[in-house]
Amino acid sequence: MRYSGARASEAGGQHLRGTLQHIIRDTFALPADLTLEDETALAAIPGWDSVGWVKVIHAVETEFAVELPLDELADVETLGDFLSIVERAADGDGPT
Amino acid sequence: MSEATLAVRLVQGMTRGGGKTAIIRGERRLSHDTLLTAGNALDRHLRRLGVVPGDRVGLRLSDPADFVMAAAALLRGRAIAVPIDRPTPEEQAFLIADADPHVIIHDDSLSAPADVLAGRRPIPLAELDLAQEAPEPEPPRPDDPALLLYTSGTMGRRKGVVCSQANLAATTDYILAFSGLDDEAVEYVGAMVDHAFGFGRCRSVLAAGGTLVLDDRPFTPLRALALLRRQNCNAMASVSAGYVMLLRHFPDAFAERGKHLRWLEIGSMPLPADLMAELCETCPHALVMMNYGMTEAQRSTLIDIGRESGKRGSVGRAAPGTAVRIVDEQTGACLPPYTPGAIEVSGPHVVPGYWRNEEAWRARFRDGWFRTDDVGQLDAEGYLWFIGRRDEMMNVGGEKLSPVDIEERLRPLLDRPYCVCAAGDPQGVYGDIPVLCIEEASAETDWPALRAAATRLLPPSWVPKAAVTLRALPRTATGKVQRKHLRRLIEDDDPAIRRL
Repeated sequence: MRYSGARASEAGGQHLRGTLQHIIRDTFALPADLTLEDETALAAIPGWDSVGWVKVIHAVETEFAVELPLDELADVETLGDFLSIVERAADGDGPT
Repeated sequence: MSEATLAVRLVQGMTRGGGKTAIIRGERRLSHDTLLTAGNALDRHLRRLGVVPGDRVGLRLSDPADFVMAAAALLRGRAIAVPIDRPTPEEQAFLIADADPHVIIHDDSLSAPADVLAGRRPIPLAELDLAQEAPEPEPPRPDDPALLLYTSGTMGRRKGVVCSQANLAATTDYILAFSGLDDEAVEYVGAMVDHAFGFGRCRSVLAAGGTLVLDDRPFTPLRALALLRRQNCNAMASVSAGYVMLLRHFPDAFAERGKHLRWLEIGSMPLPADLMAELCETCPHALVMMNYGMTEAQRSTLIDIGRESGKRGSVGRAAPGTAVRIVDEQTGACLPPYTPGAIEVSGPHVVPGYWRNEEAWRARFRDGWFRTDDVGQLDAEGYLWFIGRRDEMMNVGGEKLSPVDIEERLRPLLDRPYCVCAAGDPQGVYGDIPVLCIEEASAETDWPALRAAATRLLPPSWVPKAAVTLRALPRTATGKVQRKHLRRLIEDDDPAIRRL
């Protein structure tokens, strides 16, 4: 599924954040009124599990045509942590 | 009764390990010498608190390094260690009331209500000085109860399983002898260390004088890959779901780490046959070990699915000094090879009983044999072929079917977690019908198309008669799907279930 037709080069912070939230909402079938903030711990998202997490990562990689650095993803705790990794990858800084 | 005790095995391993790191968790490092000292110091603390042989000592420690250190320390003495392995106040209250511990060593994850804790001396680990020099504990005897583990399952139905020093030593010895695990092992344990499988790995690595790599965050394939790389691990243990995720979602990254691995163990349930081959190819230098066991009889059989590739699909052979037999459920008569029946096991790894539940133990123990409640068959070489849980087998129009067999045959058709369970036939025709249960957030599966494909692959009676989806399959803490619970959800029309 494509979420926005976004390309990495046009992925501005706000847009990227919105797309990530969309992917997470879709993956875990979250209610529309559930707020996802940068500070939200991924483990606190209802229904969060490692299979869903893998799906989110693959969906983001497909959406932005990037390869995310697995080693950094291992330490992600919050949505903000994840966002900053995706931002760097989309800007062409990663992975190495 | 074997003369070995786990306490002796631990001291042997820790002495061999000496100043070398025994436990790594994040930035934390604990040496074998530190663990030895902690065992002596904890024993002195407990004696001063009035703990005598046979008293229970609860452990509620969320940092796995703390847990393994404290459990290994306790197991050197004559008290009984009780892991309080659940997070909620209700579950902890049940376990504490049942195990009746005299002391509870804990951190801030102890949430049981005050009335349950009253009179039980909860002591924060941080208040215990485990670095002080103290005499060695009085050595435990082989038949001393040492560890009280609770079976998985729902609260109230969990049974306390009393493991003796000899039971724990027998299992540890078998793992070490079978795998050749030695003091060079640096093992990532991607399983809960306060459960039978994970703790079995921990005590084996410590008894070998090796190094444990633990994580205080839940298992994800990414955490596994990162820790394997960062700590340069040469051994790994995980439940089968962990390997499935690594092989399916990160095959390249896992292959990169896999070539460094020398020892692997798969826990909880067998890996599907095609993934076994893939795992052995991904980890070409590793001994890949799979076991059949339960809390009451851990590691009843082992198989190295790499070297014994012709027997993949079986769960291996009984350990030396132990036995597995297949009997007729009704008569108890032994059955010949290749005849399915009830699996029974005996040997020094079989525990002496359930905690304060003699009646339940009598129902499971007959003529020196533990009745596993599983169904399987032996082949001519003594390999055990597991068929299914006796109470999960389904009777479809008089034909006994194993949900595991049906699941295996459906594998090419499904790319998401699923299982098959029995449910009562609403038409009242078949008795049970097989129901396919698919884990997905929204009902996307095209059931008519899937059923048509299944009809081409399976004998008619095996084809699921109905399919449901739900957000998450109910699982035990070790990842086993709870098919009986699913059956209840389906038959009760639970709102979590969406029929396709």
